[in-house]
Parts: sequence; structure tokens; C-alpha cells
Amino acid sequence: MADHSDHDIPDDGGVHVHVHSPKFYGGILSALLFLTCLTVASSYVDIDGLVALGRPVEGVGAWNLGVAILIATTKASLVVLFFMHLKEDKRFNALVFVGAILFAGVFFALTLGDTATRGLTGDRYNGVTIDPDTGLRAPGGVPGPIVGEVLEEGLAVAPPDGAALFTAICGACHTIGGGVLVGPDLAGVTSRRTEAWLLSFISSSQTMIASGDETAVALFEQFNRTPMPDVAYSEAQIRAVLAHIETVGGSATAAPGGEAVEDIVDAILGDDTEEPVDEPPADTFIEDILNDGEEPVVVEELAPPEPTPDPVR
Amino acid sequence: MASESHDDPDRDKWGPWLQHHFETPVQQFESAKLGMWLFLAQEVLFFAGLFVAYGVYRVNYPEAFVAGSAQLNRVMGGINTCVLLVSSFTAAMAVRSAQSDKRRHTSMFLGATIVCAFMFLVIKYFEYEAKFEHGLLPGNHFHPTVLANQTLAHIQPWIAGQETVTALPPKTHVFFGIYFVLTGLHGIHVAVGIGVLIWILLRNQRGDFNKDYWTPVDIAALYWHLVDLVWIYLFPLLYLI
Repeated sequence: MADHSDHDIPDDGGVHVHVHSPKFYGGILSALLFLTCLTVASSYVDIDGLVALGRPVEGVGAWNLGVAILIATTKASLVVLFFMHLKEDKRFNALVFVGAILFAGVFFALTLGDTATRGLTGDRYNGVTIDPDTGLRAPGGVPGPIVGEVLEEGLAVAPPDGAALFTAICGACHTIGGGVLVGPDLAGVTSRRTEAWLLSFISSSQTMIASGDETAVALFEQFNRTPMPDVAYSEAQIRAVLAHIETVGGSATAAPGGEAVEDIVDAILGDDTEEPVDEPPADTFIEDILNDGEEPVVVEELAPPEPTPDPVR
Repeated sequence: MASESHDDPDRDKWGPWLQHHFETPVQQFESAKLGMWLFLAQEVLFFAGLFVAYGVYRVNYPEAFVAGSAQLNRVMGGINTCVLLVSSFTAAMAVRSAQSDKRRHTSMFLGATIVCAFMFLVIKYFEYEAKFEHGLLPGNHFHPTVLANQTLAHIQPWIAGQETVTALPPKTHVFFGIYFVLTGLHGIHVAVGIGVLIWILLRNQRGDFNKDYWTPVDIAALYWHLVDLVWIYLFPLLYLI
């Protein structure tokens, strides 16, 4: 490699290069360190806010990203051109390197062009799983309900698969007859609670707790205030899950024999009058929660507190 | 032609470092350089895959990336950036010393580059240790313990409505997955670079290089500059934005 600057290059087949001075390299280093400080400093400034006249931006905006990449590219160029000597090197080497960067750029641009524009087209078939013309599930697609799917009325779909729905969301924290996991063992839960209560609690336990429902609050306290996330299932889907729980978990442990079977039958058939199914009496309430199919735990009631005397007026 | 150059008495004026299949040192040098630039092109594409993964997941989970990057220590990252920039400088100076036939200086600068590389890994170790302590691990192992009273506000005060963070956003484990793979892979490249530089340093001490032949020093420095280049992009993308 020869450089065609000041002096004559002897044509002896030896390698002759332009040797830069230490000051030159030091200068490049100083520029690089300065640019580093600049980029760190600029990351503390809301450039988008300045540009867009103080409009609050969620997350980090495009201008900060742009400035960061611009500074990084400047630093990279300094390293490549001067530390790596690409400026004085054969053109072909530069072509190879810049070519790789261009191909990486194509990779980046096309991939993000897809990702960042998902769902933005006006194509009526974009992102659907229900054929908008026939209302049927996309051919060759999902055999059961899609978790969290909000179905429009009148669409022809397969009946909800309670087992699959349970595994998809509930199974992360609950077992049926396998003991406590994160939340209580759900075996027999349909005998312990009314269907209406379960529908409400499963849909949004936090709403019930906030509204002061005693059972909900007690459960929340019992399980270390671990919030149960809202389950975005339709009523039909929740009913399918409850039916699955009954199929697997059997009857409640509180009442033996025929009474329990009756409760289950009542639960499956559904109660038009919304009558509560054998709600346990209040003073064995905590014990029933704690029991969950294991050794009965007896909670001793505390003596009622001494009544405080009326304040002296 | 080849047999001619074997018998060519001029070949003897170069040393044994001129390999038999090259006619002149220039040819050997340019071949080595091209080979290295091709390898560097491959390295760019190699890391490009991970950068695109970063881009895709950033577009999909922006709040997780903002929260995740707020967990990283900018000061340590900034120091590491400066350490690598200085190491690039010392590597370029090592090549310059080799070009100027200054064997001792070449060894000194190569040694300085190696020291900087080790410093980088040590600082990286402390960064990783902090992540492990706080449970900020990739994927299934993500069990963060950095929640209480942490504010993002002091770093990015314009994040609307997020004065105090009580929980990291969902999918933050994705950010840390990408963080560990990117910096881990880069760290492996640094470690390999240390090995290569030590080898070149030993060769230099052995007297392999002279004013006509310092190609391996140049080639090793090119690899090292690429390691620096990758970090120049990693740092802002992971730590700053």
C-alpha cells in the first residue's frame, strides 16, 4: 500500500505508508472523548421537548435518538477513517466495509419498516382472525378460542375450551386439587362461591376488593395482598373455565356426600334466581379459606376489645 | 512466474516473513488487509442481527426499554466508553511504532491496550454484579428488586406522569435479555481481542517485526478498533436513550 503525497515512493515492492504523528492520533482521541461527553450530556436534555415546544413525550423521543446516533456515527467515522486508516487504504477495502454497513442498513430498515407499521394499513384482512365477510374463524387457523379475544356478537366460533383457557392464564397461579400455588387451590371453588361472585372476581378482582366485598378483601389479605390480574375472558369463556374446574376438581371439601353433589349440579345448571350456593356461615369463614382440602385449621377468636369509654365532655 | 520468484535473488533481501506464495511484500500486505476487512464486514453483519433485534423489541415495548435503560449505570458505561477509546488510541499508536521500527514502543502501546481491555472487563464485571444483585436477569430469571422509591424522573424528567416507579413495566425482561446478549457477546470479543493482542505482543518481543513487516500488528489493531466501534453504538443505544 502506498500513499501518493509528499515524497517519491520507491517502487521496490516494499510496503510504504504514511506514518501519522502522535499529535494527530492524540487529536483524534480528544475529539472522540469530547463527543462522548457530548452524547452523555445530551441524553439528559429533552430535545424533543425543546423542538416541539414543551409537549410532554412518553418515553424517549425521536430527536434524542437521532442526536445519539448522529454522534455515534461521527465517532465511528473518526475511528474507521483515521485509527483504522481506511482513508488512506485501498478503495476496495472501503467498499467492502461500507458495503457491509449498507447491507446492515437494509436489514434494519426493512425489518423495522415492517414492525413499526404493523396494523396501520387499511387492508380489511390485516391482522384479523375472524373473516370479516363470513364471520368464521380463519381457515386452517386456531382450533379453539384465542385467549383474550373479544368476539363480536353472532360470530360462528367453536365453544370455549375451558381446559385450554385455564392453562393459558389461571394455571400460572392456581391448581385444581394440587394445593396452593400463588393463589388458592380452586378445587371445589364453584361450591364455595356463587357463580356471580366468581364471574365478577375473575373479571376484575381489584374492583371487587376496592368496592369492599368481604370475601374478596379477606382473600386478598390471606394471600399476602398479591393482586390477581384482571382476566380478559368473556362470560362464556369464564363459565367454560369454571366447568373445567368442576370436572377436574370435584366437590367441595366442606360438605360431604350428597349435599356436595347437589351443589355441583346447581352450579352447572346455573341458578336463575342467583341464590347463593351454601355460603359458609360467617364465623367459620376464615377456617374455610384456610382449609382448601387440607387439615382443618381452627382459628381462635380473639376476645372482643374492651369498649373504650366515651370521651369526657 | 512463481518459479521465477522462488529463484529471484531479490526475494532474499526481504526476510523469511515474506511467505513463498507472495511475490512482493506489498502483495502480502494488501492480501492480509483485504482478508481482515472482509472479516470485519462479517463482524458488522454479525452484530447487526442483534441491533435489529434491539430495534424490533424497542418499537414493540418502548416503556420497558426506557425503564430498563434507566437501571443501567451511565457513569460506568461512560467510563467504559472512554477506556475503549483510549485503547483504540494506544492500538493505533502501537501500529505507528511498529511502522516506525520502534520495537520497545510497540510493546509498550500493545501492553497499554491490553491493560485498557482488562479495565473494560473489570468495570463490566461490576456492572453485571449490580444487575445480578438486583435480580435484573434475562428472561425467566428476571426477578427485580429495585422497585421501591426509585424515580426515573431524575434521569428523564419528561416521561409524562412517572415521577415514582413502583413496578417495572411488563416485558422489561426482554430489555435485559437483549442487554446481556449484546454486551456479553461484545465482552467475548474483548476477551478474544486480549488474547490476540497478547500473542502479537509476544511476537513483537521475539523480534518478528521490522520496518518492512509489521502487518500482524496492523491486522490485530484493526480487529481491536472494530470492538471499539461496536461499543460506540452499544453505549448510547443501551445506556442513554
